[in-house]
Amino acid sequence: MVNDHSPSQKKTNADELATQVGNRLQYRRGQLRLNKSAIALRLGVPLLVYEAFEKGEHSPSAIQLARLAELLEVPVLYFFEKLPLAEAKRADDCGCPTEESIVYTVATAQDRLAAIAAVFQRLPFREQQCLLSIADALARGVKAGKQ
Amino acid sequence: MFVVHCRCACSWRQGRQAMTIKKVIDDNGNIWSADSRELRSIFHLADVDGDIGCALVRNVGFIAVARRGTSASIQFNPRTVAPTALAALGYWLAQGGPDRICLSVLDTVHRQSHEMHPTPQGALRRMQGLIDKDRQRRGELPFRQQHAELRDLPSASVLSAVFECWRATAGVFCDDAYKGPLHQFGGKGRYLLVHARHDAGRFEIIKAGEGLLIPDKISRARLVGSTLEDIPDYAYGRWVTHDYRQVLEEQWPRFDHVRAAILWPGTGRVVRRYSRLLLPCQSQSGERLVLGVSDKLASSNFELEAA
Repeated sequence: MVNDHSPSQKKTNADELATQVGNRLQYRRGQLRLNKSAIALRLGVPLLVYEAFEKGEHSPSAIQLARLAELLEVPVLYFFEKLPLAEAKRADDCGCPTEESIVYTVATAQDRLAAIAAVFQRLPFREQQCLLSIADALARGVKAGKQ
Repeated sequence: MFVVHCRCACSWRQGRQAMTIKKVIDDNGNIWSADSRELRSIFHLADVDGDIGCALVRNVGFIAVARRGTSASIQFNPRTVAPTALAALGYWLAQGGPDRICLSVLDTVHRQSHEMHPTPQGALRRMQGLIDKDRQRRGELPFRQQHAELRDLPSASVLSAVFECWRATAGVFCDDAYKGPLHQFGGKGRYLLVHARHDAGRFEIIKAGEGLLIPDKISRARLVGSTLEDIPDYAYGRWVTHDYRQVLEEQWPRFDHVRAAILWPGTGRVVRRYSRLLLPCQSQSGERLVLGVSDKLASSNFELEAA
């Protein structure tokens, strides 16, 4: 068998693939709106390890990737397809929305009220109380700034 | 290094050139030399002469691979292939990035076909297509459809109104001409307009009617700009894409009755029964489009059959 690929080229390809798999993981998880902790738990790895997969710092093993495909309801070869540009951009949005994207998607006061109400209803009681405290503190901060 | 020559019975009989199998990827993602003694002993085949690679590929879900220079060969069975073996194959291909792939498809009844693919990406896409096709044939996907004739389009319906508009405009889509028919009979417009992109035969959604029955608001908001395959239910997206592609290639309308259990985030699978008309169109600037319009199910026979 001829091996015409240098170790450095292999490493580059492996790095590229790790990034690609990470982007796909992040995009798909965002699409299904699952959190990292839940996926890590079901995969049986610490959260930090799963985060390293998404960042492309490490590649999941073949067994882990097959399990991830099952958890995210996609065929395993999904992770080897290059993410189209628009979706790649959106993958970033899924992970951490920028201020610009927030402003764009929730443009009017009415939309913002509806969005916060929808999020609020999904939270457990304790987190609802925390959010109220944060909102109150923010509002007081803004008021103090104006004075 | 040992080299094992595998000759499948069918290709041997047909006088085709036999494929050299050098490695097999098992259902745990491990890569073995095809004649590994340890592998044989695992399957209690230590005393069996000859190659066991084909049998492992055909029946146990392994994948056989070989690389020669910038070419690689892959042998697999779409019915039995293990997801972990596919994952390991993806990593194996990434190590070298071969320029050409010979894909050999085995089935469980001793048939084998060979295809050449210019890129690993193309070969992997084809493999997934074959796996999907096999699952569809065995009824494993939660989607079913019944093809219907265009003459059976229900009269006085959105579908027939859009079809008449399509004929009148010779398939050239413009908002003004189609707006009326798409919103007739009190409908809010249950349609998708997709644009055939050049990369990997994907379809980008460029318009989505307000009347589409999507229970998840966020998925609904993200629809325009995404590809048909990349809706949250990936399997459904791929299944639908196949029909859109057929309409685009044949440039002929298609009418179906569909029953699909579609996965949406937050709601789980939602069963939808609908009749769907797909029309090949083009924009005024000549871009290739497909318009998909849905309406309530127009066949009670299909409803009974699918229930």
